Amino acid sequence: MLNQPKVKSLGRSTAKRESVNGYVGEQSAGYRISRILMYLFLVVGAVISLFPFYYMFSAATHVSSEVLALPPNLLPSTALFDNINKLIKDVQFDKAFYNSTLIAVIFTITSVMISSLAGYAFAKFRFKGSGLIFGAFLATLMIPAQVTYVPLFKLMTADGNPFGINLLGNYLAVILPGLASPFGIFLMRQGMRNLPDELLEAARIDGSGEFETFWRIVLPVMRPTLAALAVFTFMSQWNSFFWPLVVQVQTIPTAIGALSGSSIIDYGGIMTGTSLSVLPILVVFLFMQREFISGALAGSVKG
Amino acid sequence: MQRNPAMEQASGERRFGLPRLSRKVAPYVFISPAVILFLLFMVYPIIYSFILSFQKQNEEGDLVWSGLANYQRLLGDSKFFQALGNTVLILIVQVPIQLTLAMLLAVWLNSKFLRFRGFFRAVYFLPAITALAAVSVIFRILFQENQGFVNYILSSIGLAKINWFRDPFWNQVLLLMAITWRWTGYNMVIYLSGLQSIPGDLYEAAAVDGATRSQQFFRLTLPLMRPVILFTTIFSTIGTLQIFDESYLLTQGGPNDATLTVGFYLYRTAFRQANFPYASTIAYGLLILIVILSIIQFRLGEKETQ
Amino acid sequence: MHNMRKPGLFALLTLVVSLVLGACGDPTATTSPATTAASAATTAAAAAGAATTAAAASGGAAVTGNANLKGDITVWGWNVAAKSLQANIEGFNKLYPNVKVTVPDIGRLDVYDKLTTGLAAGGSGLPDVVQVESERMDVYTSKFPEGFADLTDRASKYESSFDPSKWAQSKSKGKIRSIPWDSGPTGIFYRADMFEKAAVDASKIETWDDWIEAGKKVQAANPGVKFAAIDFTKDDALFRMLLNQQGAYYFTQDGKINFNSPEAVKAMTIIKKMNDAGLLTNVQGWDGVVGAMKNGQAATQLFGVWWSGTIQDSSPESKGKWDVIQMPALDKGGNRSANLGGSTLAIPKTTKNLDAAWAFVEYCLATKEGQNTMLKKFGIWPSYIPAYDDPFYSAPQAFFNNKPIWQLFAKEIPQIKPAYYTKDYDQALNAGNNAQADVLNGMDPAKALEKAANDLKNQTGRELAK
Repeated sequence: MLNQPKVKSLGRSTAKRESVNGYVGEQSAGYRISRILMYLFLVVGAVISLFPFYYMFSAATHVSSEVLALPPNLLPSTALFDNINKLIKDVQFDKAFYNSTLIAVIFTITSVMISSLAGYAFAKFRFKGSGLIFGAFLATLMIPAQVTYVPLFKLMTADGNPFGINLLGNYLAVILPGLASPFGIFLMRQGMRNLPDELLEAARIDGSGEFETFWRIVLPVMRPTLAALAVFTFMSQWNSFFWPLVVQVQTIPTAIGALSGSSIIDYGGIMTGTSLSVLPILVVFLFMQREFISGALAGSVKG
Repeated sequence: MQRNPAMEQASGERRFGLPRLSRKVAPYVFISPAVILFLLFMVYPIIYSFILSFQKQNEEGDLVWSGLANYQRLLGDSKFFQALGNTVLILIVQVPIQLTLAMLLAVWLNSKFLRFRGFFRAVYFLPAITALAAVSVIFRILFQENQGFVNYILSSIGLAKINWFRDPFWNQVLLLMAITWRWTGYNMVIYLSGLQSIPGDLYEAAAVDGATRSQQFFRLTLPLMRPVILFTTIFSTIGTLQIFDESYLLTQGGPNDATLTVGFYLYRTAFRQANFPYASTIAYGLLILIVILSIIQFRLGEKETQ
Repeated sequence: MHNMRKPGLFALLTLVVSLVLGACGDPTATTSPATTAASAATTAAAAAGAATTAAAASGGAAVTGNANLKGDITVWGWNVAAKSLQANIEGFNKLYPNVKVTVPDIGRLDVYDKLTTGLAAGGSGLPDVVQVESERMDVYTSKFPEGFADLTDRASKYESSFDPSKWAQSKSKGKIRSIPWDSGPTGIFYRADMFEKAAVDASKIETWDDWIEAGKKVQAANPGVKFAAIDFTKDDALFRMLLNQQGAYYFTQDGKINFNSPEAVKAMTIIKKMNDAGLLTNVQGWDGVVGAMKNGQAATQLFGVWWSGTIQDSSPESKGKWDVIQMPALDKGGNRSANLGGSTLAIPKTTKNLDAAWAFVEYCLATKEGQNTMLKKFGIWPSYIPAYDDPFYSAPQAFFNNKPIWQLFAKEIPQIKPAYYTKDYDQALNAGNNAQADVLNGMDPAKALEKAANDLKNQTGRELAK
């Protein structure tokens, strides 16, 4: 209800616009002005988007006591390597970086695989209970995650799971709970619904097994969607803070967390740590931008 | 999609040492990893916390049944309703602004004539990929009351300084700006993706018919994008109702809890006050609201689409 | 990990189903809204605990060590506190060579998140020793009464050696559940150079009224400088100091809400007077307070002794410019002591190394050597009174105008009155912050406190004190 008026008002303005007749051809002065305004808007927006990051990167090169100085030190200084060394010494940042990378990579690959398999089944097979199971996945999105932490945590302790295995401090404790991602399954299902059935039928007629069809025909076609899901998944795991903390695995966010929360805070370290943690995702995004954007919606337009 | 080199190789060969799946069994096998993980790590915790919402801790610290007492408390909890009011305010004000802005950016950044498209896309998406923890420190410095950068700019162009953290109204504005800063680019990418799936020849045909660019947008783009808009609206609604980071890290609930969200209130109850039963109740109270809102949005969206 | 949750249109079908099935436990079924929060228990007295005895400063049993004690123990603490425990491992291992101690550095709120989760999950995954701020102990001992080991038998003998206000906070239902670590005797840190410029003699300041007059002079003589920087809306530290100074706190000893007491109104009125005189500047959070100190925006800071560490760390360039006085009194000759902050160490019940954990806690907190190592290296102020014998306490401090500032804090300790936190400390803290925000935004102190009191009553179901 709350958002609906907005969609409606857009609809109404459609009608209004039809009567507008002051619009002239593309080469007019008005057009040029509107283009200049557009660029101006985009540049101002870009500055607003970027400024906090610039500030952060710049702060990463200052010693802690300079970070809060006013007027702010907007120019880079020379303490970057000292800050990195301190991070390594104080909170084993190198180990945290290793853990984060390994966890995020394993998690992303496994989660994307599980999501594609399930998404494929929901998109291209008719089977009993499919609607109910798929709906159940999506319904869990509505539960605030915080209330699930205690039971999840219990599952990770030796007393709390039927196998008597203590997973605290183990990578598996971070990786397992989020693997079956409703969002991922939804995204893959939407993307795969647009696959032509003839393609799959042809493969079957050629004697290809079901898994083989999936692996060698479906997955290659789905590359953009896979790329988009991989970026989203990597991002969420990479920035995940609370859960790794609780199950006692040191990652970049928990290492940065250790730097705050006392009367003496290492601001230079926090800024350096966060800057270092932004870089890998930025690189991943820049390299995969095209596929990522074309796959981000995965045909749910038609959903 | 038309050509597929893998096809020829695929025929007949059994490259995977797995038993061949029949078409009947295959889907069940395919969903089984997801379902098993889902039952363990989603369904079980959700049921657990649901049961918890009907319990309380007694003097000895043991959990005992308390019937609907927690829900009764929730209905009389002025702090919960204050947080709910704040959250709904964000929903009504911020979500439309954010989605309009995202659509505008997406249309511009989809234009073939725009220079530096890739750069702009990356820049606008950047805030979404960052954990807010460090950025919030920077925001707090920038928005300081006396010597902060933002107030410095305001006063140098002749405007009055704003008490961003002290005045409840401006604190809410600050929170809305921070959320918009962080999530607009994310929605922009979703819209961009949707725009790219609209065939270009539709626009060419419209241009031949003499439709101006704004007419093209309102008569062609918007109707085709309606499902995507509905999709992002529901996403943003649920995301907003559960919003936590900004309230916790940036405004810490604000002056007199002016920017306390339900997500933060729930967290406070669970982890600062160690009251998990009541925190679960808050979660289910919120859930009911999310369900109702989503159904309404979906219904209205359906009507529009027809 | 759940950040990825993105819903889709098809979720709604299921939602309808789950609604129909009633899986959501419709709360509207109970039509009468409860006027008071139902589940708030009445054990406010938990905090009250001990009637404090005067500290016998000379006690302290000798710890002899034991080479036969074996075990690996893990201690959770944060930042400087964690570092100070690490600094004690060497001395500890001379006495207990076969106990291996690990102290990972975890953020403050992070320790609480982990501790709360672990206790709620029945004590799994917890360390052998954990740092908890004194004011938060009641929250844990009330929700998890058996979560921490009962140390009564081992620790009773030390009672007279500790800061009495702290010892009271370590007791729950008559049992000792933690050992006081550090205290936060309060003081006013001020820029001696700025005071000098204004020709204000800080040692002559006796009451809060004197203080406000001094502030006006200091501000007049130092353009651009405010007298004090506080976070108007999110830190009511000054309010708590003023309450404790008067022997009051958020709650009364029997656990009633004390926000509408005359003491609270007096405290808030002083804060209002300071602001009306234009002496306060609003900063955001810890970053803002540190920044204002560092950038010379504020001439003074009213905090616990631990602030000395922050000044030295964040503003090394201001060496020699700072000095300290005790808080002014409300009336001439009145009490000038209060406490702000400080932690305890507790031992989770599920530890498999209770003896080794206790040995470490005892060495760090109940020996002169352990406590003074932490003070000298990290500025953590002992709650253990015999530690004050050390000559270090009377030595002049170069950073602080060459004054022996530690003496001042040491003298305060026996005069600090107990504060009552209760298990609803967190709600009360929020109510305090809100009341202060209201007052500094112009509301009448009595009215703002009345509002806060009722708000707290709604959330906790506790009675008002009057």
